[in-house]
Amino acid sequence: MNLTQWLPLAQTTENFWRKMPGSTDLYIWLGVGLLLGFGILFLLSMVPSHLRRWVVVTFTFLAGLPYVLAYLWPKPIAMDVATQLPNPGEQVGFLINAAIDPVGKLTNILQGFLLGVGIFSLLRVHSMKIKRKAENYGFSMVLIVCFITMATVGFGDWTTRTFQDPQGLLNDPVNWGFFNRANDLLFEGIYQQMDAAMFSMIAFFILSAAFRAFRIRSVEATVMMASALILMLNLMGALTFVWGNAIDGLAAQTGNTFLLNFKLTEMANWLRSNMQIPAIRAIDFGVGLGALAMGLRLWLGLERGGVSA
Amino acid sequence: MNENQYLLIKITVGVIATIGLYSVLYRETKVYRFFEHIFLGLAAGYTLVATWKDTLFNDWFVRMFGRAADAATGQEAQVGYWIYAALLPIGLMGYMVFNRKHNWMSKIPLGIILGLWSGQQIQIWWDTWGPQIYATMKPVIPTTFDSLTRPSTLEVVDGRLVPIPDAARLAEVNNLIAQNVYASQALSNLVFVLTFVSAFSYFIFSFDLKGRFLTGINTFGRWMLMIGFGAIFGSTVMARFALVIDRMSYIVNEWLQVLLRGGA
Amino acid sequence: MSGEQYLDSGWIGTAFTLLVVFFILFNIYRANKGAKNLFIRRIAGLNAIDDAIGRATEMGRPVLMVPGIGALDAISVQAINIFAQVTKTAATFATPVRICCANAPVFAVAQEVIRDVYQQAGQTDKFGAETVQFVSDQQFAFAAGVSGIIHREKVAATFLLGAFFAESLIFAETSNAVGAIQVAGSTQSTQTPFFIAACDYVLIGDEFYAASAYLTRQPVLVGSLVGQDWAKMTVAGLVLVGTLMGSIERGQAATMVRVDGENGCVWEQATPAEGQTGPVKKATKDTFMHQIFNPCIPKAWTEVEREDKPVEGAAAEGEGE
Repeated sequence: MNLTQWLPLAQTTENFWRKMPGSTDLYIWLGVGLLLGFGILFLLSMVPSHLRRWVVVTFTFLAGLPYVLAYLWPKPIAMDVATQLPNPGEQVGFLINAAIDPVGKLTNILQGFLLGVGIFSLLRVHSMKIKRKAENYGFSMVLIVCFITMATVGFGDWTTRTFQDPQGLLNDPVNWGFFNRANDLLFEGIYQQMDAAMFSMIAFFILSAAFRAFRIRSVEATVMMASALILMLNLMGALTFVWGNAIDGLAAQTGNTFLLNFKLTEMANWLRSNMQIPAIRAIDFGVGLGALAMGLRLWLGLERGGVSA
Repeated sequence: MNENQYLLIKITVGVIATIGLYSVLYRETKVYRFFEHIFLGLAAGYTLVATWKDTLFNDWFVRMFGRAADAATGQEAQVGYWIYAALLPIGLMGYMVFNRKHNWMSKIPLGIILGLWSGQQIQIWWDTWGPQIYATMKPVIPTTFDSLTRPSTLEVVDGRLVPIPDAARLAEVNNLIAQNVYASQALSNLVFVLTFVSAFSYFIFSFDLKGRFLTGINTFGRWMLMIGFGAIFGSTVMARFALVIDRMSYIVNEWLQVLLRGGA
Repeated sequence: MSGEQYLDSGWIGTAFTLLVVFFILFNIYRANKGAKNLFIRRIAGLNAIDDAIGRATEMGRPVLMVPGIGALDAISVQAINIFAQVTKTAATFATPVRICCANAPVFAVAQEVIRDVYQQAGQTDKFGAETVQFVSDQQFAFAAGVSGIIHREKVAATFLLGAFFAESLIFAETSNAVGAIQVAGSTQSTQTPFFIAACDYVLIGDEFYAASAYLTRQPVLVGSLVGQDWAKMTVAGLVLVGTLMGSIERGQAATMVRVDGENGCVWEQATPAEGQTGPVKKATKDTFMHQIFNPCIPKAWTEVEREDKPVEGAAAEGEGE
């Protein structure tokens, strides 16, 4: 087999894996693919319980393998995919690298399919409230109505824009139909505003949290809030301006440029670049190492909790 | 209904929704509850549509069915990969989570997602951390004691601070700065390295830190972490206030403006 | 054969990654063999778990847990593992549990794991649709929904562990408003200060990852933690040695200097700047550690002869070779 047939060279030519859009061939093979998937599903459903863990571990391992191989196998040097073909020795490396893109998309696709699991849970919680006529069940009805309306209107808007508007006329509100108008009202008019409102509420919470922290419960909290204070003062434009000018004047008067280091911006920068950066780097490095270790345990099926239980 | 009237309605409902959510700052009431459920419903509907149009349609559906050539846009035909059809049943296994008998099968798509993530971690680990480890190795010994602090590129001319006017001398100063580590810089770098190492040592879990020196480093590390956290706290506060100001401006400026225009 | 990634970072990247992997696997092996001397230091936030559940039981109110808003990855799985431990304790006291998820795959994992916990505790009837629920996968809709739940159910304790972003404070302050005990930890260092300001107990950085090893004492987890510590000490040692070596070298005179340009990397004779008295000192790019982390690649190494790609149409003929 010529490895290069896998490469994204000529997307317009057919081979075993890819067929012309709209061709009978494609539909037949799509059926084959679907059957294959359901066949796997059926076979898996018969796996005896003591082997189940191993099935899950195998799938997990195979999913992670391309990335690990891509890391260990040398990547072709400075190759121009559009005009060059890999040398025989490079073909494996190139193949692995070409596989990374579609493999990476798998996460998005599977997450997309799984979204329904979440939505199902949400609707189940609320429909049960309605069924039981639990306290406040009216609000659950509001939620379900809003969900159905937004989904319908959103799909309506997407279909008209994607399939019925090749010239892009719908970019101008004058040409909007019902779905486009309704989507704009629900999404831009209400949803986005609620999103921004919730986000901005953090400012109030930051005040109350800072107030409690400033009432100083420990030496550590004091250290933290003192450093916070310097940074906050630095962000107050008027104060930095006045302070900076005073320092400039003093330095010009005395001819001592070292004084310039005592500007608020300089002090804040010093604090940031010599204390914040290394401290945060130390934390993040530990977290990264933890992620690597956990990734390794999940990948090799060593983790007893989670999915490989 | 003309465009102005529509805009008025649109912004008015947005303002009402904003105030409705803000009401929770006072107390959780039926008003908040009503708007919260609207928000959750809209979000669920929006997510469903967004997942389809941004992810599943492009990454799955179009790859599977291909795309016919489009004469209008000059887009070439795109072939379809039939194997993508097999992903649907694999994705559907996730729904087995609600099935009492076959619920273990839901772990297969979840395992695949975790496997992909894990493989990536191994691939990207060094690319993320290698350069940072290197960047932490800063020179901590001064190379010159001609001056304790870095020479300034500024000078006082007519009572004002300006960059050194003499080009040759400016180049000389810049050359000195490039080649040397001054005591003040070395001290800053030492603070940097010590902060990193002490904060780092705080996260060593499997050694019993005994003795004054080791516990001292540990405590120092925690203090350094707090200074770092404080800096983050301080820098974020202002950004958050900008958000409230933006909301106030939306309610006061935009809404009132359109209200006046709509009424006119 | 060398390749692009080895030209970028040299051998050290791969070697170091493999070393860390070895440290972790070796210590897991050691722990599984029953090594006795594996110690884990006290983690303050975790000792608070039992107090928090005890209080919730006394008050007859639920315990709320949020595994962050990130996608399904080690962080959320780790959070769910900790929550499984919390739920185990809560189940024995019949304290109600609410786990709110912001990502559907995370929800699916939590559903599986937590149902198992209830099954093992023999309390399947206590596991309802609301025990583990998906609220929304939009950041602020999720925040609004969870705030609502905190207020309405008057939760007695909240566990906020995982990847949190701006919404962290909304949860922390809302829980504080209803008087709940809060145990929090975010892998996002940008959110940790807000948790420190607002919560009772905070797990900083990878205390979060150490948590399940601390709580369960499973050999795999403890061994892995020890392996991570070995890696950390290696890095700390490397940083100290590198710092010292670099510092000494910066004071030395350079005979050759490294130049990275269009012709790849070349070493050139060091020439003092105009008017400079004394020798040229080594710059950072001329030091040993710099060569280790950024190998000097001459242009010739990056030139590879290859066949041209066949023109459109010809590719199809080449098939089946």
